[in-house]
Amino acid sequence: MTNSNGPSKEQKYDRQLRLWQAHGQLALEDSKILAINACATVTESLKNLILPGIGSFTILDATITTPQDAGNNFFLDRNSLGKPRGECAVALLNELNPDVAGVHVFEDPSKIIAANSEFFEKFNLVIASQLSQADVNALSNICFSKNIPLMIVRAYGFIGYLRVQTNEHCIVESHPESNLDLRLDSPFKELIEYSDSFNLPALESMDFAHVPYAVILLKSLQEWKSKLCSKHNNALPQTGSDRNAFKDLVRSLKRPGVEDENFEEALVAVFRACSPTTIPLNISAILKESKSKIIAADTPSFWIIARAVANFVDETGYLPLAGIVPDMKADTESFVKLQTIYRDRAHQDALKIHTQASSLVSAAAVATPPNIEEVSRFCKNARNLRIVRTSSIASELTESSNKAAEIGRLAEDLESNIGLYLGLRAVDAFYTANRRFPGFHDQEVESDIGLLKKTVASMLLKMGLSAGLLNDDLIHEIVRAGASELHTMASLMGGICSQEAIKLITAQYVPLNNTFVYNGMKSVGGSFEF
Amino acid sequence: MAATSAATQTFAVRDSDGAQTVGRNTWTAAGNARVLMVGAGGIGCELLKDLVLSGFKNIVIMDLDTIDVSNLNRQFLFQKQHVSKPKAYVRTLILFLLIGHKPVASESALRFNPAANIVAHHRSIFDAEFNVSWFRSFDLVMNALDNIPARKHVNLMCRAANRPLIESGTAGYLGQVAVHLKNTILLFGKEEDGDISTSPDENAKEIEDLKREADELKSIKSNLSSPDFAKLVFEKIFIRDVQRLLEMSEMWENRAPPVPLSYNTLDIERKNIQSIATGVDRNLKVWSLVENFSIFCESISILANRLVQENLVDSEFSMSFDKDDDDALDFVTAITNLRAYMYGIELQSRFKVKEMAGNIIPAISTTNAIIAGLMVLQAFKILSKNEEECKNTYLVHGGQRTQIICGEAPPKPSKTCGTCQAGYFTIHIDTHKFTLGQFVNKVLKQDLQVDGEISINESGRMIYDPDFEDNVTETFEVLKISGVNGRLLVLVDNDDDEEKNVAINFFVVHKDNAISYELDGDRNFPVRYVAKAPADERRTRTDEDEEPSNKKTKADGNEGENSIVEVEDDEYVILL
Repeated sequence: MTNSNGPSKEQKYDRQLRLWQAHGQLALEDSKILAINACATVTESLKNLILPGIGSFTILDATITTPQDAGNNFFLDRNSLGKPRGECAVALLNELNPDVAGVHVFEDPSKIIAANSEFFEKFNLVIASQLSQADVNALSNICFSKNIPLMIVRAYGFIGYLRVQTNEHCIVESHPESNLDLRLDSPFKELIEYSDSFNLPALESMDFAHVPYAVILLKSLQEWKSKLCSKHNNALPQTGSDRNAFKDLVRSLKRPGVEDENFEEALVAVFRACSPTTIPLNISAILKESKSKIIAADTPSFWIIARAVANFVDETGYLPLAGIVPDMKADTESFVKLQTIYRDRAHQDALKIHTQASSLVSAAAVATPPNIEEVSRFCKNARNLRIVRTSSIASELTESSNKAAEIGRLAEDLESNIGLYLGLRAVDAFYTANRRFPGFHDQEVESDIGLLKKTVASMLLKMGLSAGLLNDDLIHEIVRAGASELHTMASLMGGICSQEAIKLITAQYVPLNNTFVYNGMKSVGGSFEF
Repeated sequence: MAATSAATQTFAVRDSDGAQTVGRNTWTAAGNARVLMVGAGGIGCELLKDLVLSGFKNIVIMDLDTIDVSNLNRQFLFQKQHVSKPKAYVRTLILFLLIGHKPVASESALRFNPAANIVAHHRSIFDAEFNVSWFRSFDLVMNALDNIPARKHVNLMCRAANRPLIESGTAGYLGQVAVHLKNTILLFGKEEDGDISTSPDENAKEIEDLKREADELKSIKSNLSSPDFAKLVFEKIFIRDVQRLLEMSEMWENRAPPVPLSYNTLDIERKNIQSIATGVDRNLKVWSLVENFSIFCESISILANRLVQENLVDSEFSMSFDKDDDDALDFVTAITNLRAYMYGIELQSRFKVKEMAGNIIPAISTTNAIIAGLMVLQAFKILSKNEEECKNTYLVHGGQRTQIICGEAPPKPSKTCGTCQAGYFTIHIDTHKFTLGQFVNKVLKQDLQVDGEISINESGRMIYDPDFEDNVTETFEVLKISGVNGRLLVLVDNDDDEEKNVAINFFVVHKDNAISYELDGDRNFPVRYVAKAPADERRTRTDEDEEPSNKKTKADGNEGENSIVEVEDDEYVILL
């Protein structure tokens, strides 16, 4: 299958397609990424996005390559010295993957941020590093207002930092640890018929040992409801003592001398089976929100399908069925039949919702209405939808008092990485005041320690925090590191940044909300919601 | 010449930048350290880049693999023109060609560090040449491997050579870095004490069946180049074998019997189908019965033809499944689906079959980059003699696990671990002269004073035990204990005194005309833990099991940058 243009994408991307599938790959190939400043941390992030095949990237950078850049950046070298950093990095990055095109823009990011906010509209993700606090603040406002996800990443000595900002990120495939939706408490018609087809007392021992646990529980619940539920005030056994009584009922169905693995499985699943099938609170909130939206030509599929699901729930009282059956002790025939029953039912639900969604969009002239695959995926994950709305970085920097008390409380724990976070904010304040980072020049290390201490004190005061919150050792360490970007930290943070970027672009898995700080000295990470 | 001096100056500045952060002593230690990197795949590419850009200058790379197209999505030092070349070889070529030259591409890690001395071997780490003393020539070993046997081997060799090992693995979005210092445990399961006992059940009926089966297969194989080969194979496995199974009526009392397929019917239908989808659809769409049949017929004749051609050159040639061989994968997909159809099992796409048959673990560059970065951070700790600060680090999903990266102290040696609780010696002998009896009496009993029942194994092969002393007069040469097979595991059992139970590994090195033997190793070896009477293995389930929690994430396999990833919630340092 190798053609003259080299290997097919399918072959080249085989290993990642198994992780995010064809629709994830399409999202990746549609992405246009802006990277601000081609320092090692940013080029490492780009490397990990170019290799799996993003659509395109642009580097915005107006600096000239320095010896330090050539020393810590894999995508710069001796020949880059004295030339525009972005141009040199793009040339080498472009060799990673012939399917990805990169360009550079030789302009000062500060000026673009200040004067040309339309520039950013071409992109659907912005990754930035080495910006002043003022620029981060302004860029945050631009991206937040235009709904473009923004990631600020840095490697500062042994400190790693990543901040994700997105004002609305909707996730269908959140990949929860379990997605069980068996409806044993409220079985649908086909499921009842299936369960009724098993006449337990009449079964041969071999068959008895292979009755799927779902059937054992369905039968037990049926009996519970008809005989015992009046005694227990409830249709389902929900208290501990009820559950124990229910378990006794399950055990009473066992047949002595017959292998009982299926019964053991049933007993383990009692807790879940007895939890009523409800609509999780966060999901009802999403459905409710979908009703408040007016469907227009540019309404994202997520909200259109959510609205269709909301209508379905109003009509039936249930979310669409996930249609997945976990592995269980059973003979092939009954297991396949059980799978088919759930799958067919899930398919019917999805068809209804697709019809519903199609009629919703037909009124609004939506260019690409949700297709059945998309709807089916949504239905399968309807119990696990997630919406991530982070705060804006601008609000974190300006309205710090909101979070200051919490930061102060966290900082009391010396093992917490919050000290490093405060340290980074202090060096940025130092930079704003002195136009250089503390310890940047070897001969100024000693004097900078004193200067940084003052900066820290005034910063903490402004935040309403106690001046002694940052210990001296940390301040010494920060000045000693002297703003250097160590390659291995850049590689690590570039890896984490691109990993979260892929979650954002593919809308699979739940991305960081919103700050990750890594302590390279102690090898511990921590994430915080500011 | 001006350019040269400018470059020299450049690198001086560059070094000082890294040195400033890492600390001058550590930076120097990294530059002087001799590092062994085992594996040059996804993690390996990242690791080499990170090492070279972190001041490491002496690196030996070991990799047996060749480059596959599916590596290109993450193994960034390789490009499509390198496909099917040995990884280690391409790496050396790239690096050496570019020393002092203008970099042509992103192919060079060395252009940053011209002083670096990087050697690559396209060899197996299991080769006898890479013995304990060879391992001892390194200051640090870093594993970037994709399979458990090699990991276990390197771990054992590092333990024997008393060298620190940094181990790594990734699977999808998950990954881990583990540090193995002298007294921390082997993560990949305990070394098994070799013990084979087979008692073949000589069932006459069975032998008769096997003989008939062999004859049948032989006759089919003799028709390898016949145009009817596909038909012959098909009729055997999808018709005759199934009919034979159906005759055993008791098998089908409790389950649906398979339905044999019909060659003729499918062959007629086959003529009516359009050509099978190509491109993405061929891989992702589940083929219909007749499509499977058609691909079965096509792929089996291609494979048969290949076998015939190869046999002309090498009569011993045999084929084995390779998931990257398109015809082999077509064949396996079709034949699996045809069988699944007979049994009413859901058919699978070619893509899915590849994943299952090839034991494929998803692998991406982001995870590899994170893990390699973490490995180098641990290397700095070891080289700066701050071993006590080393952490085992785990990359976990975001979302519920908000830490992303968790660190914990490496576990202490486990008393049940066969690799921790063992002695290690290198023994130099003339294998042509030294006998097993001499080994038992002189080395074990007199010199090391072991006391108890002795049994001796060579990778699962029983050499000696209290009931099997036939070999005592034989030399090591005759017993084929040397070279690749030159490791003995001696177990001593003493029922009266548990303190005398020990396990000792001996790496045998041949030395011409050696008089008697020389023993090299730490004589203070630990007591071996011997399991008591087997406890009831069956797990008793408690109510806790019912709560919807899923503490363990485990990924295991034999391909990609995968490894065991074992994560326990409660072991993390919870930060928020």
